[in-house]
Amino acid sequence: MGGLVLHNLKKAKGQFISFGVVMLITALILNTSLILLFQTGTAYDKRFEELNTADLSVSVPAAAANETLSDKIAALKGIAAVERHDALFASAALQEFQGSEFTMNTYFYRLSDARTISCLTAEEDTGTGEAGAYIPQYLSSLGGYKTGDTICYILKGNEYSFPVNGVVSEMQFGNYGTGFIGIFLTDSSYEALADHDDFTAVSEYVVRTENGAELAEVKSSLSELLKGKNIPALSLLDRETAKSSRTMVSDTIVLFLAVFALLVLTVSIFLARFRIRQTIDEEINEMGVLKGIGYTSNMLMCSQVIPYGVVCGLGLLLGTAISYMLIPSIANVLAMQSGFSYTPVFDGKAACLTVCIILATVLIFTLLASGKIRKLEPINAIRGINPAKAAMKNRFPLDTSKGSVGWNLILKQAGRSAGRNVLLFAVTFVMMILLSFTSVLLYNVNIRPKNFLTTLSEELPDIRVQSDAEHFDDLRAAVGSDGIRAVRYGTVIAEYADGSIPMIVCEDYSQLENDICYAGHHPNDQNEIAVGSKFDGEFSIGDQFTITLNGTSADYRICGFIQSVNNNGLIAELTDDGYGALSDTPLYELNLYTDGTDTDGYVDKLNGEYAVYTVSVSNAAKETRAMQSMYASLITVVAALLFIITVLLILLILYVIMRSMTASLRTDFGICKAMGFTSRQLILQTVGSITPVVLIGAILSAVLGIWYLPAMFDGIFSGIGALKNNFEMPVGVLLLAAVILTAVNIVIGTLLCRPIRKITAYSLIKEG
Amino acid sequence: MEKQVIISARHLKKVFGSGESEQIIYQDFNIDIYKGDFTVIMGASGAGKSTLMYSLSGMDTPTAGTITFCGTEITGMSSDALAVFRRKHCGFVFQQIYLIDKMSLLDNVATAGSLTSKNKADIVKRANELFDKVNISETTRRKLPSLISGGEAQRAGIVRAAINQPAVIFADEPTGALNSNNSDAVLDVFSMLNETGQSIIMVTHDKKSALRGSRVIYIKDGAISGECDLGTYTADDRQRGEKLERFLKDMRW
Repeated sequence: MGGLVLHNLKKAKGQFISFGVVMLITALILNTSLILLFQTGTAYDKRFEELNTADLSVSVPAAAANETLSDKIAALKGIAAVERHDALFASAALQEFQGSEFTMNTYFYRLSDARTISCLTAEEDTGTGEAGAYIPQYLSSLGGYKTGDTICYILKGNEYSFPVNGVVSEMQFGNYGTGFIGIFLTDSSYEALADHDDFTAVSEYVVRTENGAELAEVKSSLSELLKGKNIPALSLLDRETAKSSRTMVSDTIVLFLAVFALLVLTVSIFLARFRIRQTIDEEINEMGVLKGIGYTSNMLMCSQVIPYGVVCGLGLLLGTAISYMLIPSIANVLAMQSGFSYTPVFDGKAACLTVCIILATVLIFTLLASGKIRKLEPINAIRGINPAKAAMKNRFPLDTSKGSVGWNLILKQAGRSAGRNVLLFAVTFVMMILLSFTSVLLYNVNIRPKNFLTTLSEELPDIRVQSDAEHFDDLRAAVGSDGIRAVRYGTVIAEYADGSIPMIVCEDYSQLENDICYAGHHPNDQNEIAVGSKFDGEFSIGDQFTITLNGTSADYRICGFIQSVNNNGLIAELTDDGYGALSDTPLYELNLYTDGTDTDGYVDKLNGEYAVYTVSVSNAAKETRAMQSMYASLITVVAALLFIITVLLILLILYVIMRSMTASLRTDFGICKAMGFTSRQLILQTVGSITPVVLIGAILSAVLGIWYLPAMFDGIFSGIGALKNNFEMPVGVLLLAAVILTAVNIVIGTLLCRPIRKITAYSLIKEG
Repeated sequence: MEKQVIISARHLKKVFGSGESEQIIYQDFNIDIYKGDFTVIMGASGAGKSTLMYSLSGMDTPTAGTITFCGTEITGMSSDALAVFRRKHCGFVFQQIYLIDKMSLLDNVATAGSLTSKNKADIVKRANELFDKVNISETTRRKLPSLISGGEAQRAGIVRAAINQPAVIFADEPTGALNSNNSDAVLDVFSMLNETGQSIIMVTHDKKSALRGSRVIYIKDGAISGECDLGTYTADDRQRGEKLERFLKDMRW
C-alpha cells in the first residue's frame, strides 16, 4: 500500500504542495492566535505578580489621608496589605503624543518613594539628571517618547516639561483606556510641580487582597468606608478593569485570527474533499481493478487519505514553526496598546492543539469523502463501466439553449462538476467575507473616518476652549460673532456608589455631533442622567442613580445608556441644570464647531486676539486627525495584509482546482485542438466556466454582507464597549470588492490555465 | 483532366528522440495529394504512416521540409495558427473516436461547426443533414457517446469531421476498433463522402478499408515503397480486390 500512497503523492505533487501551503497558513494563523490567547494573559498576570501590583487603588485628596484611614482600609475584610503613595493629580494635556495632543488624567509620583505594592522596574534608565521623568511603557511604545526627549504637559495655560530619564514597567495604570496614567518624577521635578496650584495633592491607597477574596466585595466595602467618612474618591481602579483595557486589542486580534483560521480550514476541507471525490471519479476503473486483484476498500481509502494526512501534517508543523517568527512582531504591536511587553515562548499546548484540531478535521473529512470507494464494484472496472459516466447528462444542449455556441460551451463546462462549483462558491464566499470586512473597515477609517472615530470616542469638536467665570460670556459672544457654533460642554470626575466616574456636562445634547446614546435618550432636564454601558443590566431606564461631587450628592433618574470605549463604559451625562444640583460653579468650557472655517487659524485667533477670554485652547481637530492617521495607517496595513493573504489563498486553491480541471479535461482539450480550437479559446472557455460561480459567490457574499457585517462589527465593538457603532455599509464599495475579487479570480485562473497551451492535439493521439 | 494538387510535401524529415535514442521516421520524403482522391496510406506497424498523415494535416510538425496545403505553407506556423488552419481545411476521424463524453453527438458536431460559423441554427441544420446521411436517428444524435455503439460513435465522428466542409478529411484507422458490420457502415460513409468530391486521406492496416481508396500508397522504411491506382470505388468491382492483393503482395505485406 505504501507504493500506492507514494504514487498518489507523486501523481499530483503540485496540488499537494498547494494544499500543504494552505495548511501551513492555517496553522500559522491558528497557532499565533492560540499563543496570544494562552500567553498574553499569563504574561500579564506574571508581570502583575512580579511587581506586586495593587488589586485595588483608590485616590483621595491628600488632606483626607491619614494613618487612621490607612488602618481602617487594612482592617477591611479581604485586604491583605495596604500602602499609601502620595501624588499630584491633574487632567493635563500631554503634547506631542503620537505627534498630537492628548488629555489624560495623570498622577505624578515621586520616583524615590519606597514601594512594596505596585512596584516599578526600569526598562530603560539613562541614570542622568536631577530633573526628569520616568514614563510608563505605554507613553514610550505608543506615544513615541524616547529617553532624552522632553515630555510636556499643558495645564490651565501653563507648560510643564521634563526630560525623559527612563522608561518603567508598571501594571497599575498602563494605557489610555483605563482613563488614568502614572508618571514618576525625580525629587526636584516633583517638588517643582508641588509648588504649583494647578495640581491637586492626592494620596493613593494601593491594596493587595487576600487569596480568594472577592474583588467586587472588597471594592464595594472600600467605597462604603470612604463614603461613610465623607471622603471623595478621585479614582478607584481595580486589576480587572485595567487588565481588560490593556488586553482588549490582543483579545480582539485573537478572536479575529481564530475566526480567520477556521474559515481557511473550512475552505481547505472543501478542497481536500473535492480532490478526493474527483480522483475517485477519474480513477474509478483503476480502483476497481485494484479491488479485483485483492486490495480492500480500507487499503484504497487509506491510499487516498494518507497523502493528505502526511502533507497536512508537514504543513502544520512548518506553519507552527513559522508562527514563532511572526509572533514577536505581533507581540510588539500589541505592546504599544497594552503598555507591557513580553517575549512569547514555545507553547506545547498551542502547538498540539493546532496540529491535532486541524489534522483530525482534515483526516475525518477526507475519510468521509473517500467512503465512495467502498461502493466500487470490481466487475464494473473489468467491463470498463464507469457509473459516473453513465450518470452524466448533456447539459445546455446547443440546439435548444439560448445564446451563442461559445456561451453555451462555457455553460456546459461550468455545469460539468457540481463538486467544483460548490468548492469555488465556498472559497469565493469565504474570501469575500474577508474582503468585505476589510473594505468596510478601510472605507470607514479612511474615507469616512468620522464613522470610526465617533464609534470609539465621545464628542469630537473642532476646538475645546476653557474660560473662567469672568470671561465666559464675552468669549461666547466673540465666538458667536465670528459665526462659530459653540456648545457648553465639559467633563468632571465625580463619584458614584462604587468609586469615581467621569461625567459629561452639556447644556444641550441635541447640539452635539456624536450621538453616543444607544438606549433611551440623553438627559434633557435637571433630574435626568444617562449612564455608561457598564451599568446596563445592573440598572434600568427609570432607576435612580446617585452622584456625589465634593461631598454634595444628588439623585437622578436614568433616562438612557451611553457608550464610552475610553472609559470602559464607566461614564455619565448630566445637563447644565442637573450639574447645578452638585455644584454652584458651572463649567466654563466650550466645544467649538468651525464647520468649514480654518480650524488652525481660528485656534491662533483664540490664542491671540481672544487670549484674554481663555484659560486653555485645545485643537481637537488636530488630535482627531492624528488619531485618525494613526488608526488609518494601522488599518491600511492590516487591510493590505488581509488582501495579500486572500490573493495567496485564492492562488493556492485555484491552483488545485484549475490543475484538476486541466488534468480531467486534457483529452477534451486535445480533441478541441484537433478540431481547430486555439489555446486562447480554450483558456477563455475554461476561465469563463468558473466565472459565473465566482461572480455569484462574490456578489451574494457582498450583498449578504449588508446584513452580516453590521453583526460582525457590532460583536467586535461591543466587546470593547462600543454598543452603537456608526459604521456605514456602503453597497457600492461591497460590490466593487466583489468585482475586484472576481477579477482577481479571473486573472489568477487565466495564469493557471496556461498549461493548456502545452496540450497538443497530437499528444492526444500519441497518448491514446 | 490533370488532377489538382491539394497537399504537397517536399523533403520531409521526421525524427523522434535525440542522441542514441534518435529514431528517424522518414527522411527526404516527397508526396503530392490530389483533390477529390481517397488516398489510403498503408504499411507495416511502425512504418510512420500515421506520423506522415498527422504531419500532412498540420497536427504534428515535421523536423524538416515543407508542406504546402491548399496553397499555404503550413510548416513553421504557430500552434494557434495551425489550429485556425485546421478548423477551415481539415477534418479528423480517429481510431479511438474521441468524442467529448459529456456532450451529445449533436453537440459534439455543433461544437466543431461553431468554429467556422456563428449561426447556431445553420450549424444545427447542417449537422442534422449529415446525421441523416450517415443514418443516425434523431434520438441517437441527442445521446451521450457512452450510451451508443462504436459504429454510431464513429459515424458521428465522421459527421464532426465533415461539418465544416474541410478540404481534406484525415482518418486514422477509423475501423480499427469496430466489428465487421460497424466497419462496413463507417466505410460506406467515407465512400459516400468521396463520391461527393470530398478528399480523404486514410491510414489503415485493413485490406477491406483500403479497397475503398482510389489511390493506395505503401510506406516502408520511411519512404514510399509503392503506389497503386484503384480508381473510383464500386461495390461489386472484383478486379479492385485482386489488384490490391497483387500490389500488397508486391510490397511484401
